[in-house]
Amino acid sequence: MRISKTLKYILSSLLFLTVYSANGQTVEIESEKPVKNKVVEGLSIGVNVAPLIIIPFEPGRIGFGFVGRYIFKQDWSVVGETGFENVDVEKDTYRYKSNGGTLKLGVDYNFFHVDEPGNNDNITIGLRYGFATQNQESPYYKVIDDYWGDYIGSFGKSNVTSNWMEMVFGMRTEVFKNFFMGWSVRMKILIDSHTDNALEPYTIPGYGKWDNKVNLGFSYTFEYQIPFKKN
Amino acid sequence: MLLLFFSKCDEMGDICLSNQNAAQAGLYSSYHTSDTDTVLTDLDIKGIGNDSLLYEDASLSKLFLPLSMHSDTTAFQIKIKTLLDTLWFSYKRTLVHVSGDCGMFVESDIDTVWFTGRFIDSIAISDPFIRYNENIENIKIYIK
Repeated sequence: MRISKTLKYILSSLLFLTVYSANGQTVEIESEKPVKNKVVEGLSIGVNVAPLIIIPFEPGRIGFGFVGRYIFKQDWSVVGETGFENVDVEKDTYRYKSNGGTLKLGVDYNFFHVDEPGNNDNITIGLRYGFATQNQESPYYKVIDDYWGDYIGSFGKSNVTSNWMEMVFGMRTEVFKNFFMGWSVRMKILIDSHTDNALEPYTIPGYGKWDNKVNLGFSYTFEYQIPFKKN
Repeated sequence: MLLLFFSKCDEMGDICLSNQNAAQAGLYSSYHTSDTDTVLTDLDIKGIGNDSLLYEDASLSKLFLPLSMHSDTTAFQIKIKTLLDTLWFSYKRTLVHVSGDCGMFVESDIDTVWFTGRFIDSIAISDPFIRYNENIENIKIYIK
């Protein structure tokens, strides 16, 4: 019971508290009607708003994500994630534009067990395989040469495909009946990225900066679970 | 004197370098059996086709000679007092991506170096590759 309350507190603190307070609603754990602590299989669908959170820090990147989760056993779920990202950044020596999408598939394992009927909270570890395709261009670039004059050019549109793996640690809590909020942190390892020309991607949708062969990321999700069976 | 290694920090904190397309040349005496640095004084150097001097009345044992990224050959006039030599570089250029913050760079692969022999005795290519952020001597110039 204590662990469960702690988890809810951690999750709630990290989430936007205004979601609760704006509606004057609180989660009364003690007053929840006990239900059988039983496997709740079902399909969850939701959104990942983490790409929106980074916009103030990197204004040239705009993205959004969707997540689907099928819980087929108490501790295992198959997870699919998709999303898109549009990039338009201007550096001192070049401008970079890209739009593309990502697809991630993998599994999560829940290792959070508590003797509390009706508790559907999860603490998970998981793996993802990530794939992205994007269309990129550089309307102009220059290589600075103060003596002979700058070398100036451009890259037309080209395609990039990328693959990577992710290790995921996350928390997910049921804040209303069948409505989950959660976050995860991820370590992403780039396997391969292929471009048609010398221009490499500034960012890869769903992966992050191409320069980093290992990236850290996070997700922040809102999910609704469609129960296949009654609790 | 031309600032060959100008750097700055962009907003992300990464350091981006410019003017990296220079062949680095060491000056050596041809009178020694092993490589021995030598210093040339009253040295004027300019690129042929460019009115600006790279070096003026300089005393140097090492030269930075920027290769043009617009063509596959670049020539320089090297003058010591009244003696004048000309140096030609022939090279292959390759456009490469440096990083997301620093953009592109033109690498050069030196094929051949020709020279007139007023005070230059010989030239050896020690490393033909001119890469971004590398501080490597590319040619050895042996002085008579």
